[in-house]
Amino acid sequence: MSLLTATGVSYQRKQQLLLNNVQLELQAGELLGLIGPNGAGKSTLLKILAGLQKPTRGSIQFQTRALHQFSPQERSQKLAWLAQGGTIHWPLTVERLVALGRLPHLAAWQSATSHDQAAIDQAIQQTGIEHLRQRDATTLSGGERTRVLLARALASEPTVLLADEPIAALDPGYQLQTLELLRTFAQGERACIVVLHELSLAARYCDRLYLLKSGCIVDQGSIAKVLSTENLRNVYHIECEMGCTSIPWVIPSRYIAHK
Amino acid sequence: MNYRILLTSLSLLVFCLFCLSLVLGRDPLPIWQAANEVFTDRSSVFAIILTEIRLPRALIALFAGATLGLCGAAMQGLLRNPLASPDLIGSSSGAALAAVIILYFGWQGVSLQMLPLSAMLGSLLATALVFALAGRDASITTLILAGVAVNALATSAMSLLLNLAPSPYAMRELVLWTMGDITDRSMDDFWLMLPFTLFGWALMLGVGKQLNALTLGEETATSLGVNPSWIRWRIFIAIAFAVGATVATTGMIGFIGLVVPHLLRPLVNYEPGRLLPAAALGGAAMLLAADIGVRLIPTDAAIKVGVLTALVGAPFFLYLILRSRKEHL
Repeated sequence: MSLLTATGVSYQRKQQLLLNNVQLELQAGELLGLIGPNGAGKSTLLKILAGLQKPTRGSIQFQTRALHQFSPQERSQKLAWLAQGGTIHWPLTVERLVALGRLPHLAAWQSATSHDQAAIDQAIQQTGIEHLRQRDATTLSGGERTRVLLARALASEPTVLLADEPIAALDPGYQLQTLELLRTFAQGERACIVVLHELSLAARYCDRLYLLKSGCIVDQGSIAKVLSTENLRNVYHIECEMGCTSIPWVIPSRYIAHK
Repeated sequence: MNYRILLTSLSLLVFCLFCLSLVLGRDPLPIWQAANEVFTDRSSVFAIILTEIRLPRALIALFAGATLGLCGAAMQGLLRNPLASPDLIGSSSGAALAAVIILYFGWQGVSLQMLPLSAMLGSLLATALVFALAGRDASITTLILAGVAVNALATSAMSLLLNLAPSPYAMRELVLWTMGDITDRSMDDFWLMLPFTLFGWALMLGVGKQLNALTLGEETATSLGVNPSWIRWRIFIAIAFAVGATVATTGMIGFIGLVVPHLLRPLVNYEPGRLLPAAALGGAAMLLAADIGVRLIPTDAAIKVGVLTALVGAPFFLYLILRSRKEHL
């Protein structure tokens, strides 16, 4: 079943076309990788999929309904969006920060139930930030902050998680741990779209890839199809060493100057 | 600290200060006798002092202080900046200018609600002007500069009116009024201020969780189901009503909206939502205390309460600037 569908999505800002006629489909149980060079429009596409920005043309559908028909609260219960980097303005404790993820499930005067607390505890435990619970969230390191914000998104118990470069600030250990976590998340009724720059990890963990360049989907489909020599040369201007031993690997070997 | 304990102790503090405010004054008041006479002999001197002089003063201090604390906390939560407050971004001076215009032209006689309504309109216009000047998603520096500009504009317009005041007596009236004062107010003043104040407070009900979500920035808050521009307008209008009504009754009382949320924030673990009720109670306590303070300071002319809060608040503001400079180094 297709969970999230983008049909003919274009997005224009100040005469500049950031997305051009994008078609995208996310199936239940899928971990979808969104790759492409800096400034290709990956983050914009993710925000539009999350309902944070309205597309100039085209539409987004969640299951069988158009996304703009959802109330903000309904939408936020289904879709969680994880910002790139992410800001924390007040020195809340990590636990209270993760608890903000429960907001979509609470009415204005409702206080947290035991189910809310269970969701918070599970998110904290899954992301391995148990020891940070009582820490001031503004004093965390970049990697710790990334994991805390991911825990916040998981605490919402969304159907679809849209994660914008969730592993950019992480060491290799936490990169693997985070992608394993997203892999486990994207099962059954749930699914996840993740923006990545690490091609080897994208090849290893994602079910399918979408390759974006200058606002257009250049290619999409299986790992082998998308991560082709031609695509990588065309989009990133790189030559790569590629192979698959026990796991797939893609190592950029040479930068080709623009012609 | 436990949140319930904090709110309970603040409430107790407000209650004690409120009672103290009824008892203390230039003339000692035997409180039990006066309270008794309110029910038995309303025309007795003590009963009149209690109901006509002390009670409106204490009630106005309670509600005005709560408004200033609450609005300061809401503004800081909304802008995610501890230096924001209604007096810095024009809400208070806009209200004061509108009120001075009404007083100068003698329009307050047109209708009883003329003064508070114009003050609210002035507050809303000045705040909207600051935000229009600063633009959407303005940095806090731009916003505060816009606030400084609008404050300067309002102050200079007020000075012009003072300058043009027809008689020294009228000028004295206007000047005293801009200082922020809650002496010589009647219960009528309180009843006039009350509905607008309560309406402003009511608009703030339930914004706490949204303010908490704004901790993660506007976009993430939106993804959590919050509508930031709706919250922004709701808080603006709430502040315009509550601060407008307060300024129309008391004149400009500065710095409570800045200082109180600041002092209480660590005690609520920096949660903007939880800060709202605490800051309202804290603001009430601080204005009641300041108003008791001005009665106890033995000077020939009574010190206006707005002068006292500014004397205490301005150095505190300097301290905040110094501290934020240290943190950025």
